[in-house]
Amino acid sequence: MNKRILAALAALVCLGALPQAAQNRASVQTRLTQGIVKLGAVVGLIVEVDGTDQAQIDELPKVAGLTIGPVSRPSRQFYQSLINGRFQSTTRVTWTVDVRPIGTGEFEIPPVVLRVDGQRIETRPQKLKVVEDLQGGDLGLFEITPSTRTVVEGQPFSIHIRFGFDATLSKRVNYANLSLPWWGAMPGTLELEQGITNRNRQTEVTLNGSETILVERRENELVRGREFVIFEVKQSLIPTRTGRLEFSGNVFEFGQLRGGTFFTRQSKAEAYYVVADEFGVDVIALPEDGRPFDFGGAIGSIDVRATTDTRDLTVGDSVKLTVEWFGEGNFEFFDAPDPARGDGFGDFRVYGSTEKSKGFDHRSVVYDLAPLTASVDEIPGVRLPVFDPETGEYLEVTTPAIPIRVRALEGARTLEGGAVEPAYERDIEDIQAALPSRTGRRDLPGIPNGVLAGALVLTPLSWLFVRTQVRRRLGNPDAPLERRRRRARRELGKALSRAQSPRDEFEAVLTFLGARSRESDSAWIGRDVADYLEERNGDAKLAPEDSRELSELLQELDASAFGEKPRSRDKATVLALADRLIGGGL
Amino acid sequence: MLGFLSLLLALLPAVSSPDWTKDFDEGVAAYRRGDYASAETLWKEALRAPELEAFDRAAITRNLGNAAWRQARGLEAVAWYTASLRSSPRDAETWASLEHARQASELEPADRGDLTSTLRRIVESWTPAEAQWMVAGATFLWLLALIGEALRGGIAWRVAAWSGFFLVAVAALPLIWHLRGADREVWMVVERDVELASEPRADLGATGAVEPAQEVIGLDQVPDWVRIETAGGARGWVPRESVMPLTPLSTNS
Repeated sequence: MNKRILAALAALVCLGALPQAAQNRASVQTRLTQGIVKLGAVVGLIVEVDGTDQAQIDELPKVAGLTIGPVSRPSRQFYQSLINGRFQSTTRVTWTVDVRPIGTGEFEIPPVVLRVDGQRIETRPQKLKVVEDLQGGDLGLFEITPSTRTVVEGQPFSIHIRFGFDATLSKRVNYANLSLPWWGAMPGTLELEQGITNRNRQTEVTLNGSETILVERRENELVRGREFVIFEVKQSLIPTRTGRLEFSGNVFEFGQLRGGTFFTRQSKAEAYYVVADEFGVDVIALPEDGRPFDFGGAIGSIDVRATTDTRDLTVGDSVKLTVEWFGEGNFEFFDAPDPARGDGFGDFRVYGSTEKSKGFDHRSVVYDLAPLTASVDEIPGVRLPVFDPETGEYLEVTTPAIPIRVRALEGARTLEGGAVEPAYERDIEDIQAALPSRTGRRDLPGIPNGVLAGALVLTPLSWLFVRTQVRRRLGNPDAPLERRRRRARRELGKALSRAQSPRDEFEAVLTFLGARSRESDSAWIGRDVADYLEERNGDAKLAPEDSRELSELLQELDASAFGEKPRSRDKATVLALADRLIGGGL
Repeated sequence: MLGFLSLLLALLPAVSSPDWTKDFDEGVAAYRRGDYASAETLWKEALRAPELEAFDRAAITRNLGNAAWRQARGLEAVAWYTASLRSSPRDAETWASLEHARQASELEPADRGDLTSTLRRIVESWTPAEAQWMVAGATFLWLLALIGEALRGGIAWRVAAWSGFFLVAVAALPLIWHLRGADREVWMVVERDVELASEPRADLGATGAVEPAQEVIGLDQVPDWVRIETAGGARGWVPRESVMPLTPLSTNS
């Protein structure tokens, strides 16, 4: 399967790249007309250059046991190919180099050196086997049959290869080699996949002496009255340009290998050869007459079926329409139709399509649709223009219409019953029927601009005046001592709350008094409070009893802190005294 | 089309009509009957009263805009609504009518919604009196902050003082905006394809053109002609019927 996918991808890439390649880059291919020949026969080494006529052979290889040359006159051909719906022109130059074996054995012909568009290019080496005689034809079977002798460009066709040998040799035969010089080197074709139906019976055989391919073992058959072991393989190709494809030099070799150790190579004890008939496939151009404008490159005998994931839905709901084309055709290469461009899908919104699967015998695409109205009662057919090589005519493969039921959206209005869709439009607002002054609303009285200007000027002047006066009389209010004094009452409250001993309370009161008097805390230790306050605030409002109470408080706290005397004043009393002291001018 | 003349007269010293409220009510009744022409005449009479409050003036000019709109004079309606908003700048219904009239007249919205329009609308959303009171209030707060700083000092009061200063500066913007145009007579172009002439004569070629609904500055007047200056600085004469004076701000404050 992976190989099929890779082959398809490669083919697609090639199809897309061919126009560029044909125009911009030349390609060189070589092949032998036969991979196995009898001694004395002449083999042709075919050298082909595509994409330019500016090519010449610079140098022929030399191989002991083979006489290579002379080179024939170059044959120039001009092709027109239909690629991606467009015609592309290609030039091909072909030489045939005679190769004469002068001895038996297996030879490798080194690359031929060419000069193409001024550049040196070497071809791939080729393998040639020369034998005394191609004996054993009666013991083997080798048949190669094309699915058709005439195809149109772009139409896939297959090469059916059937080979085998006498069943009585089956115990002795331990190797087989298919010599198919055209395999992988047929100009003007794209290889698809090998068709093997029963993978449990597949086996490998050697191809062209250098690689292996998978083949399928079939049931033994009677051939010419004897039982034969039969193998089959199918190779599918797509021609990309008109002309004749020659399939020649087909030899089936089988026999017995013997020996072969770590030190010695295997040798052939027996070898038998069967030659298949040569044949050709003519590739003709797609006819212009009757080609639909929307022809997407579908060629073959194609049938179609379609299914949906639902048939009962509401307007706007998504419905997946799966369309599968099947039969014989180039399923991997044509353009899937777009319903959005087709007739009959006007009542649908086409969200897009998805490639579900793609193979040599089918193509499946899922379309995402949504009905736009409830009047839709079927999904119309999806139309695919196809060229039928059998009839030589273009025809249309269309999916059958699929009945569906579409429900209207809940609450949606329709035109049924003559109902008229209400139309709304914007308009100006109504007039103001009542005067605002009648409701008591009055205009805000204005302020003379001169007053405002005066206020704006006086405000900073007032600040300057007050600031100067305050600093002149009381000092800088922003000084640390002043800030400490303003915080003293608040700090006293906190300190008393935190206090855990009479000493803590004593220190808190001293700190408060020091801050308020702009002094250190210790200045109040041992001070005669009454004299001090009288001296300091001779004209103050401090009551004598407050002065006395402060003196008593300090004595009491001193005794409690440094003696055993218990306190008699609580926190509230101390704070109340502090407030009175502040109010009295402390 | 001569409605602008009545508004112009309202800007001039006029004889006080003690019955202007009666004219207003009769205009409302005529409008309700669908007699828009009579309603327009009555309201224009009411507009001549010198003692009109700004809100009453706003109501009358808004109604005149409706009357012009119903008589299929879209650009004139735009001018009346614009004049109404100069007296009552935050009236949502007048704004809605103005934007609808401008849209129907294929004009740009008065408020385009971009940064410049938004800032301009914020500044113009205040009457001159409101702008003055805002400055007064901000100045008072500033004064409180300054006194606090003088008495106590400290970073907090200094920040408060600077905040008060910036508050005054911001609050002064609407007043500065109004003062900027206080001495200007603003007109609005109410016709299409209006061309500027170098002299007040119809036989001269055009020296420029003005867009419909464009606000222009009135520089001079002669009978049937007004000399204007556009926002782009172009000056010229235009026919009087092609422009309409908006209410001067100085009459509101």
